[in-house]
Amino acid sequence: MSAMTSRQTALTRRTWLKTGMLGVAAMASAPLLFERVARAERDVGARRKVLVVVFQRGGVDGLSMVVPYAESGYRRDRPGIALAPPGKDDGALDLDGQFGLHPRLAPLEPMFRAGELALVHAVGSPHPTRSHFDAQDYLETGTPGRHSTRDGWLNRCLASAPAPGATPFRAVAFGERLPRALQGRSEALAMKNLRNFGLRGRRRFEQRLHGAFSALYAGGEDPLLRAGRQALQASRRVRELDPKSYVPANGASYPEQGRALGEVAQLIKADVGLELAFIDLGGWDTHAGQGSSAGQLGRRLDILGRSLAGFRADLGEHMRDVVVLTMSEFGRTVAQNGSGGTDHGHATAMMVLGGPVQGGKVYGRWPGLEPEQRFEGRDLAVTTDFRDLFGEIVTKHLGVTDLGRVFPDHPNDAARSLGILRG
Amino acid sequence: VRRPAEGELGFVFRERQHDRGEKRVLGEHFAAGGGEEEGRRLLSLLARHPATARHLARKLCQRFVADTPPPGCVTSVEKAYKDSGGEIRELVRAVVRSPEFWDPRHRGNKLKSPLEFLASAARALGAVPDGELGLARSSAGLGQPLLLQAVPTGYPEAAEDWVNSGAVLARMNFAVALATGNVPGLPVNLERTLGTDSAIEPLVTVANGRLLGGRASARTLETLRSELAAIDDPEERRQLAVALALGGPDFQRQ
Repeated sequence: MSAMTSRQTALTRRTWLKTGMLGVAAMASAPLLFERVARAERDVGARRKVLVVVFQRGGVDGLSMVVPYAESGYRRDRPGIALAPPGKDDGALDLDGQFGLHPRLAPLEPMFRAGELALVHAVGSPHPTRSHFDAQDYLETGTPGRHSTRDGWLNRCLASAPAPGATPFRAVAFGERLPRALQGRSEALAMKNLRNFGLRGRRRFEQRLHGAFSALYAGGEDPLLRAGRQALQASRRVRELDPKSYVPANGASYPEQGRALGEVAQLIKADVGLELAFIDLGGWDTHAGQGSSAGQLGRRLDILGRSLAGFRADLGEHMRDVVVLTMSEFGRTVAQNGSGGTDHGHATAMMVLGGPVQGGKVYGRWPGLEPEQRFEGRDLAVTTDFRDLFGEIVTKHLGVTDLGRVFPDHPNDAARSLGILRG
Repeated sequence: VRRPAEGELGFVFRERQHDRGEKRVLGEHFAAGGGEEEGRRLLSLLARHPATARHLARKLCQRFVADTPPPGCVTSVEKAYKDSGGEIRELVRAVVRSPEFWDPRHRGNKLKSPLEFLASAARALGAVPDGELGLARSSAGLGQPLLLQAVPTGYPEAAEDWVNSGAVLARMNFAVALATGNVPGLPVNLERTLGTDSAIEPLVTVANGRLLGGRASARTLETLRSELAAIDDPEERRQLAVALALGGPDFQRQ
């Protein structure tokens, strides 16, 4: 029920306009209204914290992203796909004498050295499922083992963090559909991309169409009507932003498949009120022909590395208020399979980068790779529950106060946090 | 299973990609060194599993009755699966014979998928696709590239997976493009569909009847009237009527 009350008290500019049209004078609480609106206006200009979530959908092989090159079991069980050790041709990039970064993630190495990039190993869900659909669901609902949860943990964060001024861009997902993680009561925008987002029609028709569709989708809390209204509001603002003429700063560039991060950077710099961005990056389900430094997985990591490095360069000073989190529903088997790939496993590795990050370190307790140290004898064991990592980030960075609502089945014990962010 | 993009459908055995190791599936043992017969045995094992009956029953009821499938309907379809050995005719028969199927609460309640939206828009206008791939691209643009769903569970059925700001905007844009004859592969003739009378009241009535099944909401009718009144040109008026009717909320429901 507390979700209800926080929604009701969070006065948006839209409700203000609507009540305004009905006649503010008729409302007893008018002075309070003015004060709240004024506060909301101020917030839009204030420094806003942004969390960018990159979902490596498909189950990324954490053991190839952050390579435990010092473990004998690593090379033994992966004769065809293990990365060469640091110092060897196209070998892993040494991080701390124990772990190395995949060579295709080299663009991120300077960030690790500068303390802006932290890595978390052996992180994942306590639930044993190896089904993509179940594991993705659990990672997005934040309730492992519970199928009945309809909304996502990122959406619940929106209700549990201080509400900003009215903006349709508070939470934006790039992709065909709104991901489960952002589905729920709080409004979140979904767009394939920013540059083509907008209502299109013959020039002189466009204003009329905007007005007419706004009237058709007015009133009512039905999700369809809500989505229509939000789309039209955002469409107006995107037109002003003129995303097609955007030029990244500091000579930054993005690979074609990483353009969504460039659009996130643009939204951050345009100060439209973005707090949560969600990007889906697929292609990690490497059952066959995974490759080592080159090959299928290497190509995907190359895109990821160059995209994130481009994003960092493009944002420059803005990065002090931004945290990027990569996540995946599970890792992959320790041993390679008969097809030169790896199968669905358990724990994986995640990256956290940005200004507030205490980086330059690989976090998490390392469980080891020997069969008796593994989960069910085959997978890297989970030693960090993903909710402890995510919980720390949203508490410290987004100001979420009620973590029990974000991760309801979890103790949310601050003592279990990794200390990965300052503050 | 062959990928549709490869041009042909059906089961295919690829010797080189087969994992010849020992396997255990649902408690059944598959000895090392097996080949194609393993695949057939696996499919048969899955088809006879009770969870399959339940799962497919749920999916059918979700498709034809409601996003949250009523338990009574699911149980009858599940029984039909078991009784008939998975005969699809019997399953559909069980769906339409269930009282839940006819319950007024479940009528006009499901949201159209992008493909359903596109096909019903074309039908409503009596537009005949030219058979080329342009229209398939429109379906992709609306969020449903044909036969290309990345995950093996297929396209989702529930409204929450299709309703979002970007998707609704794409439907509005499609409606505008279709009304103005700008959808590749789908030429329209609005005069033929809506008639030559472009006076407001007759036009609103025929748009409601032809495009919205006579079920337009009061808000839709009111918006159509006031917006159409601002346009003088008869063809532009028809275009706006079609764009608003097909892009508005009423048309998004089955």
